[in-house]
Amino acid sequence: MTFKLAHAPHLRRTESAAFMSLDVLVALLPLLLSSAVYYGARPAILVLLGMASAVLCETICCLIMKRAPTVLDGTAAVTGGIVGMLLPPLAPYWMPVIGAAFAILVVKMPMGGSGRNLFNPAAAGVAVLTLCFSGLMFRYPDPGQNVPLPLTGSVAQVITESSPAAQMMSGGQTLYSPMMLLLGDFPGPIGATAIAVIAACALYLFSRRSASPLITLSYLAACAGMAALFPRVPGLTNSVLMELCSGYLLFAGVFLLNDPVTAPRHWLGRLVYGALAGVLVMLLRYYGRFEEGACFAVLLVNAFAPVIDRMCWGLLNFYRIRKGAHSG
Amino acid sequence: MKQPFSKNLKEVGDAFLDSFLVKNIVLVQAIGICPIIAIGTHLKYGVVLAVCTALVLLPASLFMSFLGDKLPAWLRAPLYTVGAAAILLGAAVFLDRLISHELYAILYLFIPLMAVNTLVSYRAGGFSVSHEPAVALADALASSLGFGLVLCVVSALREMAAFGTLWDIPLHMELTLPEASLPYAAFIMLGFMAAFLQWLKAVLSRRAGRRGEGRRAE
Repeated sequence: MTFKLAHAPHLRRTESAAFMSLDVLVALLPLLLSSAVYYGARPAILVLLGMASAVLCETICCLIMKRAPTVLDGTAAVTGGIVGMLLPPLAPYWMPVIGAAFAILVVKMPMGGSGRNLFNPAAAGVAVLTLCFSGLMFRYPDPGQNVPLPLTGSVAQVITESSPAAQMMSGGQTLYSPMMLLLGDFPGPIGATAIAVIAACALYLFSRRSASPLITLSYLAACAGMAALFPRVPGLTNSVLMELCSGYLLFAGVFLLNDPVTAPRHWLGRLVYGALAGVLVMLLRYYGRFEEGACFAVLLVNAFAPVIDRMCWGLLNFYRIRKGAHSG
Repeated sequence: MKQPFSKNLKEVGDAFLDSFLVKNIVLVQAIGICPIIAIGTHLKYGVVLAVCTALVLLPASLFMSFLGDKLPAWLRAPLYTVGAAAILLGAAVFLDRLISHELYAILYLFIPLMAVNTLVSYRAGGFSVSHEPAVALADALASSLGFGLVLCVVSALREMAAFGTLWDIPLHMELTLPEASLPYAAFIMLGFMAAFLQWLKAVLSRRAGRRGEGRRAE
């Protein structure tokens, strides 16, 4: 009997990784459209620049490493697109280029390219941008103006506003109704504000099996639990709603944690992985330096993913053997 | 019976090359990373720390090689740690009084810490005890040089990236990234340097293999 050896991602479907990437890209499209309603064409340019930079870097890496180009599996485009999606609409054009280049050149390709990266490249790219350019990273324009952002030249005159995450961090009251949150009518990253659209994208990815509901739901449950136990704004439902909808918490749960390469494969491992990520996100919000630390939380749980997987396999096997011994 | 000075120069050379390059103390054995991450942010700090390491490691290795197997195991670690601390105390006073008080004010915490670094306990307490003095000395020298080289490269790169200076001389760079002095940047640099070393070794061994084949063909 011979086994076919293959690298991760181990897909249950007969399709290749390209279909999975295509699903994610399709899911990113409505998010881009909804941000175009508020901010005009600038977000789309930022996201496309991120994609172009990631694809270019991967092609160059493949040429240097004398490998067949892996651009067509689409993972590089997804990485660049997600980096662009998590930037503020006011970000200068070089930011997605640098973030995506870091993600591919430092985090993805040195580990061996598609399917072998230990950490989610997009999360790492966003984390580096957050660390190095925190001033630019959290400067969000006010979507209530309904004026397209300038495409060229200075953006200094654009009216900015502090996001709900920043308001909660400084301990102030938040001023957004649930309806505004659902429609994305509040300051935040390009692709992470329209909560209703993200939820629809999540359902699409779940139905296509390109994302695991186990991870996302246990992650959201852990976040909601933390928000209910340690509220930063008055009111239980208000606290849960504000914590889940602000920043890019939900976006990270759908698009970053579900990366098939870095997430655990075991169902119990996925539950533990999501819950751990949720607790870490909330801890980073409570005690961290930045208003949103979901990318750091994703990187931290990525490091634990293989350990979680192995422990869950071991645990379940242990119980199975004990059960067998009892019945036998 | 150990001989104080081996006539076998090849063994000395192998020990040197092993610790310096093939099994570089930082990049392959992953020892002594902490000081690099914590204070490898200026070339000056890096050089001071590398010199301090050599000052401690050379006598400790020599001492343990001569006397290590005659002493009971429980006595070895306290002995070379106290000895290393004494040397570092002298080095710290020397740095403070004669070289630069500012440098001492920054490094005063880290210089004594080198006495309990794994670098010292692993090479002096482990390797040297079971080897001849000449080999132990070569190993200590190579370990200090290998550690110092990596430390200096990392701190020089980080100083240039984070502050735009080298040895406190401004380089007039357009763009600086203050975040390069954070720990994660050093981890990434160490990762790339380790990968570079593996690549270098692969290339060298391939070339050596080709030469060997050529000789056989002749």
